[in-house]
Amino acid sequence: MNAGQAISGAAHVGLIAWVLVGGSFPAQKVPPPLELTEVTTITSREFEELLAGDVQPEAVAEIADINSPEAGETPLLPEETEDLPLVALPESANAPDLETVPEVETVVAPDAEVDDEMPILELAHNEASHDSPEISTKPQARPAEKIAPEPVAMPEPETKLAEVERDAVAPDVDALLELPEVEATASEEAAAEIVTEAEEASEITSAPPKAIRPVSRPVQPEIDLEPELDSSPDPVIQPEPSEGQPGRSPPVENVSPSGAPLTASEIDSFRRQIRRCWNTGSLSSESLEITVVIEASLNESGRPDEGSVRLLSHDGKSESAAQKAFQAGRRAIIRCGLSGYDLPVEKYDRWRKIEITFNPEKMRIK
Amino acid sequence: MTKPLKSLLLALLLSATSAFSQNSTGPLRIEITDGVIEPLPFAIPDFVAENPESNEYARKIVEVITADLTGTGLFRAIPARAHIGRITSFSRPVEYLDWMAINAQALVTGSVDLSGTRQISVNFRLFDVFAGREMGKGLRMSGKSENWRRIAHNVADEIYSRITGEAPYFNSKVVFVSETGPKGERSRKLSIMDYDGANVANLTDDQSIVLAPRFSPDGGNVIFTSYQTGFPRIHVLSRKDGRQRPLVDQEGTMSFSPRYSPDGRSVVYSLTRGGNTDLYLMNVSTGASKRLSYAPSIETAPSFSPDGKRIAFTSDRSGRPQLYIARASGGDARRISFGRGNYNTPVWSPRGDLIAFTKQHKNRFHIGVMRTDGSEERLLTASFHDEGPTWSPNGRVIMFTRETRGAQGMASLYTVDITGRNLKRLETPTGASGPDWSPLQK
Repeated sequence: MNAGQAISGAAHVGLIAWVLVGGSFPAQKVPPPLELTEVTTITSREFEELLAGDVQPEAVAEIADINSPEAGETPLLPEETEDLPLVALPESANAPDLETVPEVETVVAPDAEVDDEMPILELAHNEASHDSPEISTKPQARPAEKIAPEPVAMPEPETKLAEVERDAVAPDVDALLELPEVEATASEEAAAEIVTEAEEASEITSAPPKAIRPVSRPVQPEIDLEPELDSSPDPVIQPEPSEGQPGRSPPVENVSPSGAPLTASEIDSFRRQIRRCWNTGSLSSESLEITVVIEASLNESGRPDEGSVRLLSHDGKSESAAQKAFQAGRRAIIRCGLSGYDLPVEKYDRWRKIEITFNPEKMRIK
Repeated sequence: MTKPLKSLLLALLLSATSAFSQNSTGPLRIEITDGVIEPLPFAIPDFVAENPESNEYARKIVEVITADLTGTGLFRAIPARAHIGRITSFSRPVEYLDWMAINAQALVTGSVDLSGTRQISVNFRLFDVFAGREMGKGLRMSGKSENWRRIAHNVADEIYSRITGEAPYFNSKVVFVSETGPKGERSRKLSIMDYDGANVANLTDDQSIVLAPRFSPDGGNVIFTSYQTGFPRIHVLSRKDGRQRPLVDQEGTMSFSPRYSPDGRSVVYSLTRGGNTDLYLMNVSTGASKRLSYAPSIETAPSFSPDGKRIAFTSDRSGRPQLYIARASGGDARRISFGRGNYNTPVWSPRGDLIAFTKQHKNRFHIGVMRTDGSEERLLTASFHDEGPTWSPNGRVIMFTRETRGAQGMASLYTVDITGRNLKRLETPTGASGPDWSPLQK
């Protein structure tokens, strides 16, 4: 061992010994400044009285006159004090400094992780059922002024009521054809049943809770990664003919002069056109017992000849009541045919004369 | 059978079905079984005033006619500002197209003439606009000018009947109990008014409690229950001179719930003697009474059928109040109500087809109707307290008492159509209860 190594070893041992042992000796600390608190010296008796809390005030020999406040000076209490919200006041020590604007931490949204596979949602049916109400209210029919076989939702408040529904037509600068401006119309709101007051006041029922629709497994859409461009035009969708649009019947070639019989749907369409004008609301209960058969002639545009409308037969006991039933039927035929019934022109021979049986069995007061 | 053959037969059957409604030469035949129920729109332009003095009457008469017709819920008046056509002369032909354009299905025109002797004449005509023809003939109604409301009701009655086929009812009166004061110490007196709440007049003072007034069939007398002696007694009041007298006056008894027979010769009522209440029938001219029921239960609220042969009444012989029908002589009683709850105050419709009643069930009161055999029960109203139905002279409308809840609750009169639609409160100057609708005024 040479001297250098000995000196180095001794120095290292000394350093290690200083680190291990020398740290245990605390350095002399500077004493903290002295805190002084003012206290009041009390006797033990006074201390006990303070704890008991029943220190009686000293009697005052003379009581100063109390000036009762004038009525007008009485402060008014808020009327609805119980409605005041209870606000938890923050402790003064923790109250934030209003002038200090808190630093806003900017959060950088991480990039969304994209997974090629669609996740399959697993909804537990039991969990879903917890959301259903325990008691459901019985749905109530809404009374409407008009009772019709097919209920009609309440139209927009500013929409004009009319027999025929149509959309509004507004002037269009780019349009090739200039159409007259037309206001939108809608059918009057109608209910399918008469709602009496007794039925309106239905109670909350203990009906079974709302059934939760079973959750179907989502179907993964099939994505065509390389769709082929199709230059051919979209197939024209032929809409179902709607009511009130004349001249929509497809032309039929080589039709015999008398024309083919009307199809069931054409007859049903004609029936629907008349029944919406057959108003039995103002008929007596006796007239509502009577079935009338009314004959009328129509011109080629489907419009009835007012003079041709006549009563063919009825099954009533009273001629007067039958006349009222006839008048209601006549009004229906003429009123709804003012702009011509929508009937196939090529079959005119089949409907130039009509015979309509108005049977009010579903309209009677029950 | 082979498949092609089956198909052929099916096709033949279908084509036969579609062609069923029309043969090769006959008309197109269809049947309609359901239409719409809505108020019929009508136009009633201002009546032509034949002289300046009749201007005010012309305006007021049109107002009353309009209120009568629209008040039924069966008609809807088209406002005058929507009218295209103008009626400047009563005799001038009507331009139907002007009225068709605003969808007026009926048109009423008229004129008013006030003479120097304060006689008023009202002419009116009714048109079916879409048929392009007059409905019935034009009519003239005349009377003293102070009776202008009655004339207006008569015109409205004529229009109502011509369009609906129902018998009229606007020209009628209602007798009722006028109520003032808080619930605990309410004073009551008999009052009478037009069916629409106009022309209210008192028939008695409020010195004693009065209940359940009923018209005689000719409308000349009113029979009611009075507590003048401290106990309920049946009194009769003459509308002609305002005098009243006790009709049933037997010591130690209580008599109440009276009602005239359709011929006006008898009065059926309840009488409590010795703690038992039964039905009795009194001959009005002789004053002799005959006992109709002998049950230990309470029999009350009797009402004659329009033909006078039967009586509907309430009895609790089954344990709770239910409706019964018996012969007018008292026998053959049978129960007609079997629903849940208590049934009371049966009143036979003037048409004879329905019985109106009060029903109490689950702390709710209802006015309802049922067939005379108890079938087809329908509840028309529901509230805290509805009771005491009475029929309009044509049997189309029911009036009843509705009382609101609480110490400040007041009784009012309401009307409802027998369809259950058109529930309305009748405006009266004070609280009102116990209505009875008169026969049609002449």
